[in-house]
Amino acid sequence: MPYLAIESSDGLHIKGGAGTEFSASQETVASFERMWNSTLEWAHSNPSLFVVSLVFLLIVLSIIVKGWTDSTKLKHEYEDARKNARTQIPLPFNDKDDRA
Amino acid sequence: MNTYWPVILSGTLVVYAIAIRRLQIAVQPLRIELAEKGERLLSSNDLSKDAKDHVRFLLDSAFGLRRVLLACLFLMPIFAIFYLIYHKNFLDIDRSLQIKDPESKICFDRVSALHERITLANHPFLFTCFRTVGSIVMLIFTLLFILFWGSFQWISRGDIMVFIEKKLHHRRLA
Repeated sequence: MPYLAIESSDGLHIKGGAGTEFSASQETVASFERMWNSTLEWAHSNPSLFVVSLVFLLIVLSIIVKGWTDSTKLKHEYEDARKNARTQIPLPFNDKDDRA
Repeated sequence: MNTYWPVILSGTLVVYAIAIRRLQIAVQPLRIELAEKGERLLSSNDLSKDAKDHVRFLLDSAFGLRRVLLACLFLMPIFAIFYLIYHKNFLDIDRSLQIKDPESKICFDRVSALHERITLANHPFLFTCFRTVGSIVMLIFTLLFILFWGSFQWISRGDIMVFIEKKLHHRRLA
């Protein structure tokens, strides 16, 4: 996807191909760079911990995806239970004359 | 300690994700019971239109109530002030949800209790916040009500929720 990034004195401006624009101030860019550099520094100095964190994040991602598919299944089950309950009630249950 | 915080954070996320997923599966039998009892109630002749609307809302929101909970959390103090001034509106809501038939009343209470437990499972933190903030706000305004009007009227979090739900429902229909 084509994009144009312009770095000026008042910050960073990114223009996307579909007319989307993003701007960030110098302070935001600087703090993001600091954060990114310290993350890289930490990953270089603790490679094993970095791998463990990455594995944990992948597990979270897989749980989210699995949870999403499970949730769809649970919703269908619930809707089916509602439909079944509706069809299994031929008469109002509190209608004492009919029930008798 | 600083070295380990990304691992601790990601590990906590794993535990949280597993807990939420298990909670969603564990609460499914309650949802099925809610569906059966709720639909049974909707076919009853003892419920008023408002009570049926409320049951329908409970049935429709078995998988999420984030919008209403957030609205309740932030708007509760405003509605509490509204209640202090126009308390009759809330008493009308309470009256419209009253059910005379004991069998239907038990079923209605059970459906409400089931929905509360399901909502707790759906939004554990948000619902806990809602309960805590709601209890404090309602206690303060009940005391203020006694000071202003000299009578004891306990307004529950549920009343506020029903009120907001009715407003949202009417807006949806409009």
